[in-house]
Amino acid sequence: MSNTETTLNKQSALNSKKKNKKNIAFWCWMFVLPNMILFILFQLWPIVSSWFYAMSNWNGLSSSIEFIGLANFKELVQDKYFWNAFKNVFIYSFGSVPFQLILGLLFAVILNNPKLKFASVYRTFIFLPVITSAAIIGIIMSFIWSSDGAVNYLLMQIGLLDTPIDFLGSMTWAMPTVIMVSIWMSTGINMIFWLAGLQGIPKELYEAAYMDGAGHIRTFFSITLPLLVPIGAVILLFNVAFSLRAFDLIKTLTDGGPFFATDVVSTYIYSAAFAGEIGQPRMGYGSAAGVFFGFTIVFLMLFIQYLRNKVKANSHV
Amino acid sequence: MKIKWLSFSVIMFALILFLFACSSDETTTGDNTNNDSDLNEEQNSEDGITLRVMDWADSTKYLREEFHEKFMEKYPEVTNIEYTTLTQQQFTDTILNAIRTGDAPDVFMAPLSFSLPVLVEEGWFQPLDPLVEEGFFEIFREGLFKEGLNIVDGEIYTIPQQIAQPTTMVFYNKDLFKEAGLDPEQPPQTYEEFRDYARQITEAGNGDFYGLIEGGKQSNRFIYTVQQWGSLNGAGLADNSPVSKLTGEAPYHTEAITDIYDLFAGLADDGSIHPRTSSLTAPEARQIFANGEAGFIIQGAWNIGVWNANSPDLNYGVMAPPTPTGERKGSIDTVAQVGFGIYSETEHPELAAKYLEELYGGDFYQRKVVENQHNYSPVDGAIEEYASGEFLEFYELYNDILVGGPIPEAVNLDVTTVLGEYVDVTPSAAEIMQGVAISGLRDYEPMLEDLSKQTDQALEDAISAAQEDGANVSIDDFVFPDWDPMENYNQ
Amino acid sequence: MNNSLSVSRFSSISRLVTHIFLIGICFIWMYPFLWMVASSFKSDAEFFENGLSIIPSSFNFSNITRAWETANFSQYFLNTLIITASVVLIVLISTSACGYALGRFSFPGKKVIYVLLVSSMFIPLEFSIIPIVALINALGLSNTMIGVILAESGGGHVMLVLMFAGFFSQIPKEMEESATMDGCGFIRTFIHVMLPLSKPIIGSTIIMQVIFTWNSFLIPLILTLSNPSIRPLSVGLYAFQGENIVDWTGIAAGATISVLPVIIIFFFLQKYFVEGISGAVKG
Repeated sequence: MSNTETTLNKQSALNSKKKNKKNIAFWCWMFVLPNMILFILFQLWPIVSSWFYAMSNWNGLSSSIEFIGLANFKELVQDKYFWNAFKNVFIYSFGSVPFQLILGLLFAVILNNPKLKFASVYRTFIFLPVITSAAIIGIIMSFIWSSDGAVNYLLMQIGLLDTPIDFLGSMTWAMPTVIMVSIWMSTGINMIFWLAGLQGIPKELYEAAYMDGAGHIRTFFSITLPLLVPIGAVILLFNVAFSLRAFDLIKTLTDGGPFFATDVVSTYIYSAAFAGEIGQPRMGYGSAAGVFFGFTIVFLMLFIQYLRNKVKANSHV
Repeated sequence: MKIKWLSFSVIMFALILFLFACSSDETTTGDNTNNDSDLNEEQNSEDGITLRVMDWADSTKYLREEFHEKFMEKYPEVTNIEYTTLTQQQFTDTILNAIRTGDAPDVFMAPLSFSLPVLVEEGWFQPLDPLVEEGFFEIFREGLFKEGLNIVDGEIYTIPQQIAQPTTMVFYNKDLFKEAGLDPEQPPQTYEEFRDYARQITEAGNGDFYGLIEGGKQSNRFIYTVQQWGSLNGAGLADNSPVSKLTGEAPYHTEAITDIYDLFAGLADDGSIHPRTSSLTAPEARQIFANGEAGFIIQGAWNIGVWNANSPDLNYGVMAPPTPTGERKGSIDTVAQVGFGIYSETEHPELAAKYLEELYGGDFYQRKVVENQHNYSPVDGAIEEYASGEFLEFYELYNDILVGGPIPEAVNLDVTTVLGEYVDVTPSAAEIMQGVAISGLRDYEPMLEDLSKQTDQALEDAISAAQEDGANVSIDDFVFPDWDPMENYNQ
Repeated sequence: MNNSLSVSRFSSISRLVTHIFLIGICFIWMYPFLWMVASSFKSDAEFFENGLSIIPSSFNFSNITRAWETANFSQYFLNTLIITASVVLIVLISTSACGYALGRFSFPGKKVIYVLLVSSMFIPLEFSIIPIVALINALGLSNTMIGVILAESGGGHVMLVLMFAGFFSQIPKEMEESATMDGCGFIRTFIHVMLPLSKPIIGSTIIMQVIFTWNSFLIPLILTLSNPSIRPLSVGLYAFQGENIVDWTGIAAGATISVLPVIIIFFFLQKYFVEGISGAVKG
């Protein structure tokens, strides 16, 4: 196989560029194919079927599905609790993403130093929250953040607080607390991504910079940071997407409460689609919320892209 | 570095080989499974049958496993009983997918959020009558099987795991009562006393223990409190109707309900609610109560067995929920007692029926679940014969305040269509209560008024939607003016 | 040059400060984990009573043995290993190949793929389980190991693809050109030149996917309903979290023993994040 391929490639190198291009396009498609098959079967297809559910009043059970057109969407945009969840998920995202990016990068840069002793041990420890069981994290956080817990004790000792705060039970403090826990949890995984990114920077560049007498901080800003931008964009994208879909952590910490203070879109969907009191579960409505939210984000991104292009075009003029 | 890369590739290569070796094995066993319809080769050779059972009754799991041993001794053709307990939510997810793939367990509980007529229509269960021995249903308490809950079109489909019971009785810690200078034999009866007791306990605790603890993160716990305590005040609420069965209107703005919110607001203002309530689930709150950190907890009978087995030092009592004045104006009316049914597509319907016969009719399981204080058995006479201690006390206490109220579906089956169309209102009574009890929400009266209005509207909408679908139903099917809420309703 | 002595003193002080800082940070970051490990030796009452203590009052191993038995550890561990290894392998191959093509070449359809992948990242997928189970079932793979592996490997893995694409796009063109001149084909360039360079990304891919697959619960549960012999650990461990009784110390013990292999994998995979590619780029 590799033989024929080699000859093919040799030929194409000799032959016209056009053929070469075609050849490359063929191989590119062969290369993206496995992942695209997995994507289409297990991600795109569920997404498409959720559009289908979104236009029905399906309860997740009956075999006959009644179509109700856009009624779910109409109800959705009129529900102030949906917009509350919508707002909350952005607060959560904007509150957590920058910090977990910066903290992750900070740890990555410090722990990337090959001369630092025990670096691999430190890295492992900072990574631990990522793999600690969610149920356990929920319980321990309820200890730590309760009004007789460690955080209140500390804050009162240093005189920042007079009376204890029930962080997870207070409507003002629940969201900031969830954000802080989320930052704590995601720093480890971000550190890993940044570490991977840092490996893409050739060591010679550092050596040259130090030779020129640049300090650590200047090297970081003039060499490391610019070279990290491409992978940093991916990490940022991942963090934003991940935080907009946050579910597990919020479910275990507050379950969207108290009184919707930490209700985000995914917990909103969950309670609509699965937990009925007297009414039946509403899979259709929940799907509609998911579809609507997804489309809004994609639209927002396209809009930002459009603006960026426009700014770029203008600056060229 | 090259060597390291080499070793990495070698490991990867080994993994691939390993995978292929294993996966080809797996495919062959997989094919066998499909062809022979039996589980795996081992069982094939023994010609044994596997029965699959699934529910969320984890408290009795150890008894059930013992029961399974006995069952397999009696019916040696069954060589394996695969018993899975999950949480309710996992159970619902799993069973929905299992039904879709035609691969559901032989015996399983009807999931909570769906009504039985719908499940029967979808072909989940088969009628039990043709499968069980004649006279089997006579061993149960009178009036146990109810139309719309266990019976559809005159056929019994499911058998309840236990009898209807309140889930919001009050347990109190007698030792903490003493520390606060309160008489443990005289628990509070009015809301005022309840609040007062909670405050005194909190004061005596001085940060070590508090008046009341709840699983505050689970808003569903609060819905039971509102429904059941409210019904004692004459609100006419139950878990099978969105509105009062007495008036046909949502009662959330009436005193019967607002008094409860006032009480919890007061408890919170006094600082009597345990500070960790906001981030606890019900089982966590139960354990902290057992550790002696709270005077009261609002819970159901299933706690008794757990405490007696795991926390022998806990000295607790049980009391009926307090009422505003100490006089109740109604009764707790609770119905949702789901039960076991037999899967319509099961390959072993007779053995599945035998399983149910032994589970309820045999001399082991029902005796044990009552003796060990887990379930109030639906088998006639079992509670009276085997219950003891707090478990019996709880039973006797609640028997006075629990009635079997009217069941709308039993009068008109088309009510099922309405409930299928009904959309829950947000914020629910439970969510408002959560706000009041743990996050300082005090502006709840207009919210409750709103809730009443929206609930009425939601029911009206559901009724018109059902009528459009051809259901013969109206708001009158939800009102029972002839019902005296202190008495059972004669259907 | 003449003040090299003070420089080295400065650096030793700064090293000390760094270590103190890191130890403090690490304590905050690993505390819940330590607490979880400690809890696996605690009794149920102590679990809540002794709140924040990470030293159990007495060491009893009953939780660990119970977790071992309840979770069917000895049997399910192997299943988990097979499932995880296969999924990681499939994901690694599909994402690295996809990332290579997307990152280094322009070809018709590339933009569409990008847009599809990136937009799919933002769509909440609370319901994906229904179509996925239906699909596996339609393929006749339910209750087989292959079915579980396939369902677990499914998805666009957008993050990983983009990381590979970003990484490959940064590698200097000369490396590839010289390879092509040498007569290497598309696949061989990829396997012999590109893939070895991307070790940091491979490392993080493995870590991500191992964690994800190791803990995945609902899909394996549903797909193995009538064939418990192929269940992974995560399904076994969930027996602790019941509707009415939660066996916290059991959860803690189970989580501890099941996470140890992941920590070991992480610890040893780390070198791929920090080894760097500079040597290779030079060549």
